Amino acid sequence: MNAVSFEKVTKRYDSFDAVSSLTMEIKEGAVFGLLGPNGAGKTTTLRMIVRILIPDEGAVRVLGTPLSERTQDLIGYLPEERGLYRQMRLLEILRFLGALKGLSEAESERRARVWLERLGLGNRLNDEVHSLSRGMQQKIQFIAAIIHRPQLVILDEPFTGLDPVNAAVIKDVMLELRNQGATIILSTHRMDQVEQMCDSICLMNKGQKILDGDLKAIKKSYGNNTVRMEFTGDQDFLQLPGVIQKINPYGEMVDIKLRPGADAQQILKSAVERGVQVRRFELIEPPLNDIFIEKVSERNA
Amino acid sequence: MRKIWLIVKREYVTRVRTKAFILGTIALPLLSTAVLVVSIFLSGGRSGYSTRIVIIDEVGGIGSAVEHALTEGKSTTQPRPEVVQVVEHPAPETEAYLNSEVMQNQIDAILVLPKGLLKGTAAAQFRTRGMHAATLMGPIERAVNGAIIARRLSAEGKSAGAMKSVFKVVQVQLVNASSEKAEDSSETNFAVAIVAGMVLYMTLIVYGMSTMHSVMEEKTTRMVEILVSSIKPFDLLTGKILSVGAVALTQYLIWALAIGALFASAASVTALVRPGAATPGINLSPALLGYLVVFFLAGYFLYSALYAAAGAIVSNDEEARQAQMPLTLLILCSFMLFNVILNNPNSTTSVVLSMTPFLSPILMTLRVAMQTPPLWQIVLALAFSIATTVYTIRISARIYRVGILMYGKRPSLKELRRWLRYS
Repeated sequence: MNAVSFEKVTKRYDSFDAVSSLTMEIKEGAVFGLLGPNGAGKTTTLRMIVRILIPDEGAVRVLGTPLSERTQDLIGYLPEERGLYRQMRLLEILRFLGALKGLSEAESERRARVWLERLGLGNRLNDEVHSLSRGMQQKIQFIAAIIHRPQLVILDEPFTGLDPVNAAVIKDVMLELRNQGATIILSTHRMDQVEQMCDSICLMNKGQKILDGDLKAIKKSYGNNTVRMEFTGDQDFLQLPGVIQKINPYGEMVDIKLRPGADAQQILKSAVERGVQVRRFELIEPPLNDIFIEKVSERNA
Repeated sequence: MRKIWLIVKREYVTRVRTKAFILGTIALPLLSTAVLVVSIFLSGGRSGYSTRIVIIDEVGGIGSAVEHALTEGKSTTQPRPEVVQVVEHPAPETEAYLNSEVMQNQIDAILVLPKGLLKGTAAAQFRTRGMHAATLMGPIERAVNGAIIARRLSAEGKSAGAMKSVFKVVQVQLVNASSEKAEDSSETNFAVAIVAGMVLYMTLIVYGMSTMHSVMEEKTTRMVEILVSSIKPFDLLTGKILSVGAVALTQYLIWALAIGALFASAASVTALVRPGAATPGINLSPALLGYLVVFFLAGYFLYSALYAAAGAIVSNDEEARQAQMPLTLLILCSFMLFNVILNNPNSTTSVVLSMTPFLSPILMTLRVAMQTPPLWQIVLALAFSIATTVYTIRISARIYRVGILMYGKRPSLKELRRWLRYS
């Protein structure tokens, strides 16, 4: 069964279609990445799943059923535009938000205590929200999204503003939920996170789907067309216009995109001729980052 | 329903807990009690609560009649002068001496009855230090005229008995045409009407803005996006309006109890300093109270929904000030029409105004409180009010639903109309 399915869904605003005729399926029990440049329609898409927005055309189904108030309780949502009541205490606000998702208040409070403890806020149960740092508030919002153990968790940029330690904690919880059978939709601009966590993705641009499917399959379809190199010496040896299409330097390391049909060995040969000392030479699938940029700029050209 | 209840509860608890609420609720009645008690003590402290006057009778024999009239027609609630002395045919310097006594606060006033008074060629004078005379003028004028007329009549040979029957006073009763019953407390009704109207007016503005800020808070803190992923915007709006209403009720309940205690204590204080004085009090019939509550609620829901919609379309305080202006003016409009209703609650203008949507809640409350209008008018006004309220809430809810997710520029009226069409 699909956790979420979109069938020819359109959401129209006055002058433009935020989402136009979108069809996609999100498999149950997967981590799904919803990607796209700013203004691609990601947030509108997510808002339709949680029934904040109602589509103008088409049908959205969650866990096999059409959207209703009941499906709302099966979903946990961490919006990108997020905030909390400033004057409420941590335990109070989580009890309230959990109860709003259908838990009894007692159960909601019990779970809130457990989660606050686990995320390192156990000693601040009765502090008011405004005394917390942004990162801490974000952890509260994350707890609010998962406290009712939803079958579908939607996280819109869950890691922005978190330090690496906290980001790792959140990531662990996410994968734990996935292992317990929950479906996770992750919307982010951080391609490295998508590569680490997502099983499948959908890339949107200007309200339309331009690429979707299993992440590994997508990358495989591009073949090993990229060389990842580390070396000491001058970059001149890379002036091989017949072979190299594009160079992305990352400090010590470079990713070199080959022209279709080009032979990677020519790069290695050129390096040896010029006396450059090669420490790493690896033929890899293209990074998601490159696929993203290529796909989007190809559409916008 | 359960979710609405959760919204009501959360909002209520966090609101009642604020310092603003506690201070506003406790401090206000305390302060007004203190002011009232102090003023009763201050006014009671001045020798027997009356104005001490000396009557200078240049006519002869009329001063004592005036004194008699002043003390006889006594009313407990009205202030009356206490006649310290009557001086007949005074020595030339007496008047100047008494005048200086007044100036030195030994006595409060002198009443001079000059020689030409009987023939009407001279006027009586009431000389004070230029204060607290207004309320005394009525009784004194009546007393002086009564004494003069009695003297003139007896000069024409009328007996004392005949004069008594001539002077027998008749009363004029205020009667309500619809109930054929004597309105025994027209002044109380008037007061009730004004108080009810004022309270409603204040509530609409104060708590309307409170609702608006509550909507704005959820919008600016971005809390709303989490909320509407769990609850329908309409239910969220309903819960919010109900909870702000509950906070208002709580405050009024505390104040009502405080006022009750205030009247009780005022009565005992009055009894202490002024034995035998009438105790103040208000009598409300259950029907009147029922009508007041219904119109109050209709008005509250109507304007709260409007303020909530205003809160949803703005993103900062400056925009909020602009958006609330038309609503506040609308309420002010009702307030400025108070006079029309109070002057003649049954005139055509009053009837029409009290049926007009948006004005109806406050103005009909006034009419109902003053004197019960015909039932059909009440029912019609109520029907209009409820219809307006339902329709307004529906429109407001649509604006609210779109507005809470829109950040940035305030929408134009044209954009607002388009919002209404979004589903």
